[in-house]
Amino acid sequence: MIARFGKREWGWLCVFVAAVLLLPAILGRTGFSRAAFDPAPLAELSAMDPAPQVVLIGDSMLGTRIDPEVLERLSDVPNFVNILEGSASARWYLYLKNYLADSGVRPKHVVVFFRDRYLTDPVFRTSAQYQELLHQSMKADEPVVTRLLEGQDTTRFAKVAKFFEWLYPSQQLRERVADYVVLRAQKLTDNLTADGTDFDVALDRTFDIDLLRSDMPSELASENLNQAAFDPSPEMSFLPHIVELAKKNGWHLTFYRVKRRPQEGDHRKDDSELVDYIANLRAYLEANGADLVDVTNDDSLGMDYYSDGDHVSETMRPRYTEQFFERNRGLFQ
Amino acid sequence: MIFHSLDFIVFFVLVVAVYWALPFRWQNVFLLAGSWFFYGYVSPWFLGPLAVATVADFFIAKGISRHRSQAKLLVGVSLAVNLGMLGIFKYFGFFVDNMNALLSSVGLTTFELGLSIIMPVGISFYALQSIGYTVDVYRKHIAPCRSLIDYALYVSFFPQLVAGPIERSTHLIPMITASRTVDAGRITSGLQLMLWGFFKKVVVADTVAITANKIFALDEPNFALLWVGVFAFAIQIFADFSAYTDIARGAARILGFELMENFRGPYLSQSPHEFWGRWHISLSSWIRDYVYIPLGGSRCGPGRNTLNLIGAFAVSGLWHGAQWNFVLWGLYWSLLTIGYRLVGVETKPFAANARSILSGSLKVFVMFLLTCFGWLLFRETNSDYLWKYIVTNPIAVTNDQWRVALFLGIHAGIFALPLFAYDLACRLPARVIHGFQSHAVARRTTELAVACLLFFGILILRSNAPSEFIYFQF
Repeated sequence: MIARFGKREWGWLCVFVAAVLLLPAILGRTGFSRAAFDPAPLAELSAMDPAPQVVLIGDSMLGTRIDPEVLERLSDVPNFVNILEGSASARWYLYLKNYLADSGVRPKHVVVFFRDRYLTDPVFRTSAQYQELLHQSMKADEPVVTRLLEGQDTTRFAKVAKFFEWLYPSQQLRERVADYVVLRAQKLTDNLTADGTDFDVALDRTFDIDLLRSDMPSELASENLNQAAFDPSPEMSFLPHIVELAKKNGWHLTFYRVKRRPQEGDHRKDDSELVDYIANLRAYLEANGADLVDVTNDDSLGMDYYSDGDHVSETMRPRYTEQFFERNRGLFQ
Repeated sequence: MIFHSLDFIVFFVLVVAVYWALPFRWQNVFLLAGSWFFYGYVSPWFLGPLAVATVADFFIAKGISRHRSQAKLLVGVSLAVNLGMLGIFKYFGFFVDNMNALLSSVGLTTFELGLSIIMPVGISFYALQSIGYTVDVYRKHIAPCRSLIDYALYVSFFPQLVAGPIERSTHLIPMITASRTVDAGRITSGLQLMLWGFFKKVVVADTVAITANKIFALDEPNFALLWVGVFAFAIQIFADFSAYTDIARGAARILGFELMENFRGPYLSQSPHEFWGRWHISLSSWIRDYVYIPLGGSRCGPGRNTLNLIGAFAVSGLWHGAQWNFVLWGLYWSLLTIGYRLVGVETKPFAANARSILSGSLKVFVMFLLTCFGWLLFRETNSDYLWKYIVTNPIAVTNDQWRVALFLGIHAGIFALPLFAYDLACRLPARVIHGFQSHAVARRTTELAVACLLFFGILILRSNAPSEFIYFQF
């Protein structure tokens, strides 16, 4: 090797590399650090009068199925339907620990809406666009979350990736910039609508799952979850930690497995591995004083209930709420 | 190993550090080992066909040089080896499917293949590079490599192994056999090129890909939506493929190699001829030199020339994939080229007057629309859907649908802006570029600012849905 060490060129290379790598890190430290803990839900819970006796949490599976007003009307006891958009087990655990438990509210029942294996995939919906929401639910020290999320990262160079995440805490700004670009593009098109339809409605209508072509995988928009067998160990998922929280706080836990969008023949069958998984989940929950309500084989929930994907349509939401209430009347007494 | 992964970053930093610390005689050995590691990272099995092509063509080229009387036969053997492997790994399933379709159409029994063949990534690229070498030795453009290690490195040089540029032996082999020096200026420039490539891939290509994929997943996209989808795909494929080339060229530059340019502002072309001089240059020039010219090129009558053009473009189309839509895409381009020739549309450089700018811009616009139509043929592999798309009614679009389409188009357009800005900057008059480059402070300040912006852009604008490079499938 014959090195051409032109001092100026090498000096410039060092300046170049240092500036490119460090400037975003400094910027990240000054203005775009990770989201801080959001105390608003805590205040919201504490301020509830009367305090809810039944708390329902979940993602859009809950949001599109349960109409809080209908449930309020049907139920004799105060309840709280808390829809955590884009959430999964990590945020459910954090909500229960940092908000519900800390608020002093002592509900009798906590109902968690979930799909298939969502309860035991700890990393699901914890990165990218979901990270900021997760951080907003986290306090400064969250040993369970840290251990579970880092412990699950079996990819090569996971520590290097973590270091980069620490060096460039850009996720929050990333979300804002993405939203800003979408908003600008949306505003430019606003003048075109004559009928005043909501833009999001028009967008959803355009890409409705029923409009997808037949030769595309039906689960185009679905998310890949860990397909492992059920494992109740605390090192593997948030579920045992949620169960422990419930025991500690005197809540009765009910896990409500929703029926996903039916496929051909108006029925979507679980594969044998999922059947085993659910059986083991049920056994584990029952052994720990919790319940599993599984409505996946309810034939009355036909295609007419669904809008896009596994979401229940706006028009069927009241009906679904009534059915939910009837099925779980015991919770609301 | 894919470029936009942490694995590659770690691999590349280690390779560069060790490589430049080694004496020259060990550098090629180390690069070869690194290239094989890079290629076999996901599946070591892929190394088999690569080794076959390498060893076969190394000895065939030696044979061509020593036994000139049997040179043609040996070139034929090289073609048989490389095209045979392509045939088995890339086209066999296609052949069986079409054979079965033919048999069933005449009422005969079809047959099952009984095994599934996985195509090694990059085989289409290194097969052409290997064929090019034996033909170059046959044409006496280059002497056969004396060292198997040098030749193996020519075939498997990791920056360009998987998706090109398809290098010429006369260009790359002399760089492999000559000693190389560490040059800080080249390392800086290589890093800039890699940054630009990463930006194009993770910010532009992967973002507009979401729009294109969503639209092409629809059963019956309306006219407006369909063409926004095609526009998004046009941006995606350019950003994606040119990103790979830039990362490859940047990485090679850091290692002391200068790979050929593969893209030069293709969407600012005024004619098909100009487009193919600017799009995937390493492939189009390969097809020109090793297919079109040997067929007779333009040194023959108009009828034969037309056939040569159609043949060359059909080969180019089929090279992209074992699907009829790629052949159709190639034929479309041949017809477009012939049509432009007949009409006599010429490519003229922009002059500093309104008329020239207007007529030039119009030609660029028309060419871009025609290119987009080509991308529709390229993107859609299902013939039923392709036909449905082509006959989509342009009138049956509601206000809402226009609104959604326009929104998606603007969104894709925003992400395409850096590409067009870069291409326009590259087309600035030579004196402006030269003046800028000779002013060291201005050049360095601008380069640093752009690099910082690109890296910052990668951090905050990168897509949440990363995807593989499109050309990996070819």
